[in-house]
Amino acid sequence: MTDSGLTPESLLEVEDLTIVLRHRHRPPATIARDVSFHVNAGEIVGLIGESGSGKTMTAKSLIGLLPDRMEVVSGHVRFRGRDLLGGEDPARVRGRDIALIPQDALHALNPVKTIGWQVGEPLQVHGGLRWRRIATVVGDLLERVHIPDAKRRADDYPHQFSGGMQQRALTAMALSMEPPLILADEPTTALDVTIQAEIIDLIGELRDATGASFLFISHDLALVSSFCDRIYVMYAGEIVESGTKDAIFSHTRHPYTRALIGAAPRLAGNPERLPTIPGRIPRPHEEIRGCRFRERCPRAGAACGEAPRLETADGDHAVRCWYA
Amino acid sequence: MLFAAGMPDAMLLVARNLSTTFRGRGFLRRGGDVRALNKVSFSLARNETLGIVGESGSGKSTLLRAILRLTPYDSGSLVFDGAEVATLSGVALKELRRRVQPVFQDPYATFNPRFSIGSSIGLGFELLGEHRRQDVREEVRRLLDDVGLDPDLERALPHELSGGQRQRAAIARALAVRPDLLLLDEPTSALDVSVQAQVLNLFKDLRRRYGFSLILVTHDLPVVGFMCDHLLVMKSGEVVERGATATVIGNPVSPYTSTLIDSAPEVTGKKTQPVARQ
Repeated sequence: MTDSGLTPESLLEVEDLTIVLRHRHRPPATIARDVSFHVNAGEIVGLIGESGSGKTMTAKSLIGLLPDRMEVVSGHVRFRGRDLLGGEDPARVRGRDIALIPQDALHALNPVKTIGWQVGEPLQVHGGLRWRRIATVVGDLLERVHIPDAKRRADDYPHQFSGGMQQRALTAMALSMEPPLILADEPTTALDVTIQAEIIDLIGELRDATGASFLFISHDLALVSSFCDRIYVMYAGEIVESGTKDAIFSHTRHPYTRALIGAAPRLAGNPERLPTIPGRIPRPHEEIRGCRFRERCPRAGAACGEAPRLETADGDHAVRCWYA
Repeated sequence: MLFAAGMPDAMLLVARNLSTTFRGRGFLRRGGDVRALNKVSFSLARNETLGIVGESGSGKSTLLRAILRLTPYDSGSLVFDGAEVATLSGVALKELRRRVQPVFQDPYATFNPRFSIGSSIGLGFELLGEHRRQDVREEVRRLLDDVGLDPDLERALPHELSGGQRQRAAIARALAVRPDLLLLDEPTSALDVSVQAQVLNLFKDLRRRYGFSLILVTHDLPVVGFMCDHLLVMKSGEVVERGATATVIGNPVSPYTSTLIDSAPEVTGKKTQPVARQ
């Protein structure tokens, strides 16, 4: 399956990645199937899908954080030309080359260590810096994510920070080694909308200032539509549509993407009833012949008995549907 | 407008200058007092839908708890169907808690994990005085069907259901006691967009069939835009704006309301506006 739009400055290239969940009594279940995408330098790329679409596991596989029974069975991950699945220790990649901003800030932070200690830890582990020097860098990092009175607040413990500030601290931690790529896994889900808008703004600002790329993982179509350069839509372990923000939202081609956009309520001008998608997302172990969205699709036809490939429609816009 | 001086009978719930203070805790009460609700006034007509939006700490949940009389209020009045909530006791208080039913964000936390879905919902019918096992079971199955669940799920345990199914079961449980008012606290925030659409449509359908009023607390303005006739915007325990939803969203008067509207992402590809930092 091709992923169009590859350019020389591609930072991360994922090709035909397949992840399975091993099961003792059943055949392995496919969590992600032939997933291909790329992230260019300085880009904010959205990876969206509902629960069970495989988006989080796809991202976690890049830095060796898959749960025990899951494994990558085929595919390539190239990061600046290096093969990340070729036996390299993921612990050396994590934080230094690719950092993760996790979803639940409070649980991601250690309650008995100060914020400053935690933000500075990667500098000590990867950078081998001395603590006196680290304290200065940590202060700068916290300032960069707009923690007020940063130098003093570095001595605070996580519970003394609000939810938004905890998320900022985690962002500072991710930035500490100046990684070229940051994976943000639903970093604003637990936050108020105004705080969410601030974090989104911060991500854009950091991209502009440091040139870092972001892979933003979310189930929130509306949020992603507001600031991502390019978007990949996942359904049941497969990428079903990809393209620029404009292509996805203004020239939607895949019936699933269209249904998702239609299902989201608007501030004003809503219909009496929201359009819904009948049925439910197939579970990973369910064998499905043909298109995986077929059962729920309003446009399904005879051709859908055979699985469609992700085909480039025009330019950067690719879609996995016979009728799109 | 909301606070119409019309017939009082038309009003199901009227709050006037409702205030609640949480006393500081700990040694010497160093925490200081917190004004959780500060002179909150609004009214809810029968069959009306009211959305309450605001950020964490704005007093939304305290207000819901006050309506259920789980949190006392210090001053002001809260009148449900003609009776002051604070003065209710005994049978009248039980009756309030039958007529006002909450549905929370995470229904898993509110189901007894060892009870089947059917027994949890059936408890409601037993409260109504229906004790014949076969009748309760029939009612439960009918209700499950009404909320779009397979009636055979009556035997399932809460952990066996998906998030969307569990929320439907929670709605069925609330409806079992024939409430006049449903209090929804972030009922779809934990659900996927496509499941959220199903649940929101379900609320509309059920309201037509069962005819209850509804208060929806959320931080998600588009959900209020879809669901509610009226809107109350809260901040730090105070009401900063109220009115018809379309009017408030189209023409916000308070700068705080504008901020909330600008921060709310919509699928139109609109850029969210960051708020000025403190």
